[in-house]
Amino acid sequence: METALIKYLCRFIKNKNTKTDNLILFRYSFTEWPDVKESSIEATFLQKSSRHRLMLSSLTQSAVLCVSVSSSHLLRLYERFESLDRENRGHLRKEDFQAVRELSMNPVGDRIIGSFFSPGQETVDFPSFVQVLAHFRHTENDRIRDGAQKEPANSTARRLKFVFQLYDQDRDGKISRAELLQVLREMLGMQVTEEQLQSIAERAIQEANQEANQDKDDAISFDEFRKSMEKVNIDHKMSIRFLE
Amino acid sequence: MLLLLPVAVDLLGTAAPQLQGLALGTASPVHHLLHRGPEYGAPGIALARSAAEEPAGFGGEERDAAEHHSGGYRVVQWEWSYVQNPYIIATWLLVASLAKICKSASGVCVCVCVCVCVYVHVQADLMDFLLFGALISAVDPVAVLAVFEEVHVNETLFIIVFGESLLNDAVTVVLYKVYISFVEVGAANVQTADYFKGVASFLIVSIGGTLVGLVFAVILGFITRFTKKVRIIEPLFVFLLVYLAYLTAELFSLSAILSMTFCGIGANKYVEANISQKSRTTVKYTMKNLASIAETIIFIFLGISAVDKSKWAWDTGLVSCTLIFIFVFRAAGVVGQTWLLNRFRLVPLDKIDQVVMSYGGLRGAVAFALVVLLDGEKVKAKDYFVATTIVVVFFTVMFQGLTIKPLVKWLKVPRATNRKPTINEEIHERAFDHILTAVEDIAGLQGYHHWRDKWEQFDKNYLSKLLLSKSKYRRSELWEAYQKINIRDAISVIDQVMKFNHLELRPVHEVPQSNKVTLLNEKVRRSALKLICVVFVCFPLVPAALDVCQSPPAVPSPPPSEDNHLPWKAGLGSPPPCVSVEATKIIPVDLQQAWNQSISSLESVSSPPALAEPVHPRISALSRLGGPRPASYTPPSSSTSVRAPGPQSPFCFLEKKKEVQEKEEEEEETGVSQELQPLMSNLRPPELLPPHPPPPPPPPPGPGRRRNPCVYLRSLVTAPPPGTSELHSRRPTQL
Repeated sequence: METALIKYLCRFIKNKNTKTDNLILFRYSFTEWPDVKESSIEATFLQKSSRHRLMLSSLTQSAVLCVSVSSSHLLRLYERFESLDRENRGHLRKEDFQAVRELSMNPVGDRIIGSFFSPGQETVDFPSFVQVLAHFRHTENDRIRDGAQKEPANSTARRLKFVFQLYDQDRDGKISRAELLQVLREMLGMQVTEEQLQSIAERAIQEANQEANQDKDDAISFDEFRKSMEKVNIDHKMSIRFLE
Repeated sequence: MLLLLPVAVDLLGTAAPQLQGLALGTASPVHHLLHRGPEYGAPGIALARSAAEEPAGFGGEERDAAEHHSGGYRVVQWEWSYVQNPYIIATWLLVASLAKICKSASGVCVCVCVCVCVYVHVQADLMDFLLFGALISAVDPVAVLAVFEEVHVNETLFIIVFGESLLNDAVTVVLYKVYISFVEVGAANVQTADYFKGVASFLIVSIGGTLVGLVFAVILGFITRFTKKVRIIEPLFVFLLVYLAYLTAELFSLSAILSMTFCGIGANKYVEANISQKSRTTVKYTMKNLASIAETIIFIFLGISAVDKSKWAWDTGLVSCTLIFIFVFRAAGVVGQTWLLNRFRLVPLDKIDQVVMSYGGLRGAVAFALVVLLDGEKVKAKDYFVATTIVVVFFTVMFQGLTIKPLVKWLKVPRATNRKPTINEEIHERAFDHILTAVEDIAGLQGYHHWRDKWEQFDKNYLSKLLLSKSKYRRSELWEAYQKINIRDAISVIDQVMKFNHLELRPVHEVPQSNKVTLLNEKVRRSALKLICVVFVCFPLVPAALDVCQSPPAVPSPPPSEDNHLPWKAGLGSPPPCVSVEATKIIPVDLQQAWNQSISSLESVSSPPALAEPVHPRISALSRLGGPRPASYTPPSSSTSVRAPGPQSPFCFLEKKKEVQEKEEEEEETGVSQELQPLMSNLRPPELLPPHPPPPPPPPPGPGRRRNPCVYLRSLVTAPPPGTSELHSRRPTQL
């Protein structure tokens, strides 16, 4: 089926006069993406036009990033992306995210918004949008794909890395005490005093350091973090069911 | 055992012809026994033995009693008629409860086989059978839940079975009432509209009952918000309001059971936070006892009915078919509904869960009560139904009830993960909730997290403000979790210390071997738990302190070392913690600063967010303690909480020990404990006892006095100061 799909898309691309390296891109991408049905892609293409050219390129780029989200969900995500993108620029900025009302009340809202943007970038395009959301895909129907070189986005390690980066804002590979305090302050806010926060943070760092039996610095490294969360079922805790 | 009682009653019947038939259609045998004259004393085996002699004897007694009044004043009188009713009931319950104690000894005496096999074709029509079906399907998983608690199955299975037990009573009773009304009207008169009305009434009754329950839950929560000054009557409020919820639902002919259930569910969070620990215990154990009594009475009644031939009629076909069908159809129902549910569940229910769920369908008290309440005039086949129900109940309870535990073990049902709670997991799990809510919002979904977050916001902004008392409202769950973790670790530290010193921390509810040993154990435990507070106030310091142990003596800043000896990390066969052996190296340090740090940590443990105490009681407490006292003690502020890391930390811990040892020698223990009383009132979790000197280690070289922990603790025990008697009333929590 893949070869038929590839042929179809090659034809499509040729008709639109895109370059040959895009062709290679497509070939590569659809071997990674076995659950795409040719008919659904074809159906969507026949209905709309330029919008789906953009979507197609986004789809394939997402596939390249090993996102493996089904096409119907991808379409839904794309519609959401478009609804967030008020001015139809084709990419999102921080203000677009902040327009989502519930996020302002969420203690980690700003951090989540920040996690969509790669360091230094001001905009998010659709593949990055999907890539971040793919961390929360439910892993129930994962098939082991032959030749998959990269780890899928929703593996446990990747999910933990994502969460770790939420805490570790300065990206130095460790959650320092100040960063942990910051997170706790945001989450607990008005409910506890500063000393209580300090005790909790102290205890957390100590526990993580003990468990990993490593350097007794005043921070939590990624390995310590991972070790302290090994008993928690990350796959269940961090899954949203729609992204299958 | 409960079958011996009906045997006794039978003997009663033969021995005393005055007993006008236990063969009653409607009134219960209990009533009849109660209304008998004074010929019958307490029921039970004793009566059975002496049944022959009793009637004459008692008759004589009554004549004697009659003579009393004609004679002079009698000092002691036989007041049987006065106490007869409660006496009989209490003795029955006592005998049945004694049976629970020696159930292993007596075994299960299986049925007195009085089955008179009468092959009578059961005269019943569709409506009657529908009625029978409704009542026989009432599942009573009490036995199953007991097994689950014993075996610790995973939470999902437990919740499913428990939820079924909560709701199925209501469903069954509602259906029963609907069908009863159909039966009364007569099968021929039921029109199509009535079926729809039946369905509608089912919905209205269920939902109405739920709403009534929730209304009362709100009222209950609101009332308990203000009961801070009247702690003693808090359980009364709980019982009364829940009972009123029941009665109100009955008043409107809604589902009373659902009303009570949802009253409890709704009010749980707020009432539990508002009422005191003692009230919680009272409510819990009173309800358990009442439930036990009710269950006992019903099963006594069941046993009696089983033996009383006149109350039922046997039909082999009906019984055997029922037994087969209830099993088959329950399995089919479970499989079908699980298939439907799995399409929506994140974690599907697998085969093992389904097997356990269908096997756990024991019938019990509800089915029996409903069948006995049938009207014999309207439902001609009542006796057959009664017989079938009795057999079904006996069979399922005995066979399935006894075999479910081996089954659960054989199937290797996934157990509840029994992991030690860590603060990291608590923090990050809360973070996950927020993260997922944010992601759902960004993705435009309204999934589980979205609604859950909305509910929590609503709860925080409106409900909790309305229903929680002010002090509880500001509590933080994470902080509570943190403290619980600390306490758990403290207990394990103390346990290790005890083990090393060949003492044992026995749980306080165990039956003691001797008074002295109990006293020793209890006092050891209490004193040991007093040590917890300060130890875990400076908890972060303890591992550093224990690191000190391995280092060469009297080194001010020892390098951090292996922490295998940490008690909470150590396995069972590990070497004893250094607390008892090594950590005696008193290292000179700034006493004042150490004391400041420890006090500030103590405050951070105990103080509520709103710190507005005019005179800090600890200052007055400290002023009475002699010895090294910080002259410039300041109320805690955020500046003091910044602790210098590294070498400072171990010293605080050790230094406190030294200080307190000195204080000990200066004052009597009574003084210390009395002074520490005001500290206790400050501590928000009442279970945390005031700081008390941690066990000093055995004598090493160096300054200060040290004692063997055994000796030290025994000294605490052998001279129980009067001041501590008050402390003893505050028991450590069962965690």
